[in-house]
Amino acid sequence: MRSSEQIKAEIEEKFGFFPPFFSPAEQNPQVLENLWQQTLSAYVNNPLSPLFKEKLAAYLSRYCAIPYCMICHSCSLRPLGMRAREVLQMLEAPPPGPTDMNAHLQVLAAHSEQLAVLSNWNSTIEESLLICAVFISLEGETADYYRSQLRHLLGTVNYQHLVSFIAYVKTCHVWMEAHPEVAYTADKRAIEHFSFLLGDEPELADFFHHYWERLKRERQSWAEQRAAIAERQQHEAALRQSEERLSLALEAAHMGRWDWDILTNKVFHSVATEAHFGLTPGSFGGSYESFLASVHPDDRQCLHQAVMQAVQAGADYEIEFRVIWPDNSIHWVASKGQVYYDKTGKAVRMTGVTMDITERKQLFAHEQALRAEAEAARNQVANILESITDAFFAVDSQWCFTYLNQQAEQHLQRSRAELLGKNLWDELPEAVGSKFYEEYHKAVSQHISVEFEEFYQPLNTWFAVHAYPNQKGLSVFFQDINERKRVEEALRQSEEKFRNLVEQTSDWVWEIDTNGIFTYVSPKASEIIGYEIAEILGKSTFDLMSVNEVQRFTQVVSYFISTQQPFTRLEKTLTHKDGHLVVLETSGSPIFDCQGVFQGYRGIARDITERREIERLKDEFVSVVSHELRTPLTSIRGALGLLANGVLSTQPAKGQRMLDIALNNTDRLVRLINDILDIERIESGKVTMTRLACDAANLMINSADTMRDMAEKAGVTLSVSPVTTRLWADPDRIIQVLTNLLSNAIKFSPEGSTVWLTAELVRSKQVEQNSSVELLFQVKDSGRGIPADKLETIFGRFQQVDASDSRNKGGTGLGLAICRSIIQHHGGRIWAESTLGEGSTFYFTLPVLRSESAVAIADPSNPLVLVCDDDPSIRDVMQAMLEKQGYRALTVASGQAAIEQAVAQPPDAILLNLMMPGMHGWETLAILKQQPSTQKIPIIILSGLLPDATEVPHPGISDWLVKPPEQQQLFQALKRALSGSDRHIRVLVVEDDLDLAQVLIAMFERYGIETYYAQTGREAIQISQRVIPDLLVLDLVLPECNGFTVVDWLRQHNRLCQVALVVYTAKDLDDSDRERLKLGQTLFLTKSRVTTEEFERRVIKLLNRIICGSKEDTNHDSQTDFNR
Amino acid sequence: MTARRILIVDDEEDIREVAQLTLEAVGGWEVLTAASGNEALAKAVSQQLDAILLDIMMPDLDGIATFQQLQANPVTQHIPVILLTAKVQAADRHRFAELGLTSMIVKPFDPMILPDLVADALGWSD
Repeated sequence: MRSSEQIKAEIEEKFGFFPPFFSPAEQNPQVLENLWQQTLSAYVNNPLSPLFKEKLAAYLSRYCAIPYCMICHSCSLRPLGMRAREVLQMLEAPPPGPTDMNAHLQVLAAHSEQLAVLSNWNSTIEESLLICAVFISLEGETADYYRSQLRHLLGTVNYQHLVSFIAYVKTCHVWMEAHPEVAYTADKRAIEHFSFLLGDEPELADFFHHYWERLKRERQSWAEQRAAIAERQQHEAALRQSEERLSLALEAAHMGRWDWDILTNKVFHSVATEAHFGLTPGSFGGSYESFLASVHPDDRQCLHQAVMQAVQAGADYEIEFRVIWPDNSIHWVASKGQVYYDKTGKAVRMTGVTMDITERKQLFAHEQALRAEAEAARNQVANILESITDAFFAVDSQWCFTYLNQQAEQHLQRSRAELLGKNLWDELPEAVGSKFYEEYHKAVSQHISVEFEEFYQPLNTWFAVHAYPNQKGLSVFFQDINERKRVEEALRQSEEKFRNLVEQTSDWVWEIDTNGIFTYVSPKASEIIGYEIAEILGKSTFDLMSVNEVQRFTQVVSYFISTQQPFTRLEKTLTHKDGHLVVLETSGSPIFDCQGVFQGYRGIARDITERREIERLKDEFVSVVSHELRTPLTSIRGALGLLANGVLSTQPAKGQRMLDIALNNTDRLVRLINDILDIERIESGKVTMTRLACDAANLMINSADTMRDMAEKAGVTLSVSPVTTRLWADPDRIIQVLTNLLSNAIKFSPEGSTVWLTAELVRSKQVEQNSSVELLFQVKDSGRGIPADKLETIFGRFQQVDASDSRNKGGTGLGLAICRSIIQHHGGRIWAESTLGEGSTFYFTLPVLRSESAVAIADPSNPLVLVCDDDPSIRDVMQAMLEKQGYRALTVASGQAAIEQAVAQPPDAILLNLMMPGMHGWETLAILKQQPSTQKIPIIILSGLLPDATEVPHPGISDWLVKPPEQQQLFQALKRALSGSDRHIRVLVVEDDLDLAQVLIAMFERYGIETYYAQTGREAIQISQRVIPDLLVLDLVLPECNGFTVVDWLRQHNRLCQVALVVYTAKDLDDSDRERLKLGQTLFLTKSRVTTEEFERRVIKLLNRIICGSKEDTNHDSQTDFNR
Repeated sequence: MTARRILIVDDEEDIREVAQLTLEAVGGWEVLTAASGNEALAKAVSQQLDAILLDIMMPDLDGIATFQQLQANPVTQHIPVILLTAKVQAADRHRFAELGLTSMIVKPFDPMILPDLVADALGWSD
């Protein structure tokens, strides 16, 4: 440690003298050394500019009780370039306030770059800095804030230079005030030194003159100010103490604390809060703005709003925001605070805590990233499930929906909200027990995937379903396949349609490959050419042809096949399996695959063998007819041509001959034309045979008479043996046949010979009429005979045995063809037998009308019809028609007979003719309708007359038929007429004993009565409603409603309350029972007391009474409807 | 004018008669007739003929067969043959032409022009 002398020497060396300032320490080397070292470091060696240092020291010395410092430093300013006036102005300037501070801080901020380097400081910077330094030296309330601002602006090092200088000045003041003994000398010396200044500025003298007052004033205001501050600081200290405890707690929680004095805009940040903002302890700026400045720009607005809302609206302040640390790193801070208000409700303070949540945020961000990743994965799955066209749903092990996609919603027509969490079978109950149900359960229970297609009725939809079981339950993919099903169905129908068409068509449908080999033939092929389908497949059409046909057809088709052209209507002849030739007309189209490659042909072949034959026959017929017609025409034309031109005028004999030729050929032509037209009309069905009941004998005699002249001319004897048999035939046509056959026989019979016409009854040889009888006609001649090979063909057209016959014998060549047509139309047959040289016999058969004796064997239960007509043939025909249809028929010839017959045996219907001799139809009708026993019988008019359309139909006539009646019309009319009286009696047997019931039912059925059966009372009621019986046979003891209940029920129904009743019970009934059981006509029969026979007799009697009653027949005894 | 000799062959008696009268009276020719193919063949050999008028539709030996036999016989093959036919179908004409039967007269014919038709068919200019 140096001695005071040593130090003093150094000081003197430095200043040129030993300033009085140090003298109080002269005796204490330690203090002197300390004071000197401080002076050296803070003042002498401080790199701040000398002018700045002196100015600041001078100004601050205003607050020192010893004027020495001020005078000393004021004097120092003069050599540094300050004029006296400026010194005075500076010394007199009032201390700066916060407003000045802000202005000067802005100035400094504007030069922030220059501030970092001391040598760059200019006068502007120094002036502003001086004011700021003065302000912070005065320790005002907001001094801390500005200190930090200045530190921020100047940088730590420069700031340190500044504050160490201020501290030194203050130390000096304290030192001087502590050593007032120095003051005098010092003041004296100062004033001496100061004289030149005073000379420059006399007002300085005045300034110093009033120094004490001024000092006193300054110090007082400062002291007051300081005292106020101190007081507050005391409060704050107490507060701080509690807050420190809080801070400790907060610190432990890594929380910081902040406090904002809203009125002064002073913000306190605890060390921890500062740390949260990346600041070293005490380096926080201390204002709301400085706080805001450190917040991330993106969060600033939001934060400010939250603060404002808290301050202005008292909202909770709780926010997380990012801060930017001085090292530019970004950190998350959570802040929570509360606003305090004064008595007037003005917000004065806001305080709260902070926490660094960066780590949490990072963790959260990480988690969020993980979550997002998982979510994304889930979303991806969901997206996939949503975007697939399949509908999808998943159910858990309890069959509850856990997921379903949009398609599933659409297909099921249910929303997710409706289904999620709900049980599948509860929501779609119609599916329970369905295939869906079975398959899903199968999938789950056997743990196998299933796929199936099924129609879901409630949605009217076909679904294709794939279901996959998993640990959680079942995943189901399904598609609406209605469209596919529809298409499939359409396809199937179309396929079926075409297959049907192909198989049903009379044509043979075929396909061949490029080698002409059949790859498909429809079943018709087999029918047409006799080979099995399998035999045809693999063959070519040429394999089925004769060698010549192969050559011919190859030439025909080769062009089409080589050019792959369709062909139509090509004719080919195949050989049937049995050897006969089959002519086919075939058309085909080439088949190409989708690439357009030729695959073969497809087409149809039509069997035209028959058509060709018909065409051949037609051509031949036309040719023959043409020849047949032209031949006589040629003669006529030639003969008349010669006559007309007078060529033969000189040859009258030849002329006459020509006339004869013309005349004969004209006759022949007429016959020919008639026959041609006739046969055409018969065969085309344009001429109907008018069939009547006729006698064969009459027809034979009639025909023979017609031919007798011709026979006589030919010198041929005609022998006829008539047979009386009733025929059902067109007499004119049969005569035509007979005369034709006779004419032929006469023509070919030699003169003097005999032609025989006979007939005989024979059993029909035709299977379908095996029991019927036919009449066989024979026309026999002893002519030249017919060769065996012509026996059949002579019945063809223009198929005379000898072509010249037509000329020689005057025939047309059509006679036998006509005969055959006529006989065939009558259901008969015609043929010829012959021995060459001996003669021929022509035969034909006709069906015989059934004889009257048939009536005897008619079933008596069949309806009886009375026919009244004066024309016996009509009677015969009607009887035959009726009996053929199963009716019983009675015939009478007059109205009188009809009335008598109707009374004697009432028929079910009467067919009545109108125009009759004696009593005519109208009279007969009137009488029948007057008589009670006949008035109900329906009457059908059968007349040659048409009903008079202008008159109201006669009420007694149920129908009007015009003769000859059409079968169908007749039977319809009868059916209508009979339905009126054709009412069945219905009996309902109510009996729980099955054996007894069967006995009763059998009994009623013997009478042909419709019988119904009920085993219980309830059944009895049900059946009664349905059938409305005429009679009820009722047991009383019955399951489900006893007999009394049944009767009670029936009594209440209008249609049933009059039903006849037979109470058939084992119970003895008293009068009140009987009264209760009364319905319509009622019979009480006790089982075991009444024998079965007695029961039957009495019940049938009752039934007869019922029927007679319903027929309003007064004569009860005369009729018994039911007898066995 | 040298009298021509023509044979008419037809199974129809009336037609033979009318045709004969026509050719004689209108044509002024000498006419022979035959009622069948066989008769025609016999007359063609035995008689000197300038032409044959031949019906087709005849029983037994029809016109075509008769013609073929006439052609087969060197004695008769030079005799010109005219078909007399009611058949008018084109197919028949074609078939007849293939056989060498180009001349044809269709029935019924106008007697006043029949001789001209025959003369034209045979190239007789008189």
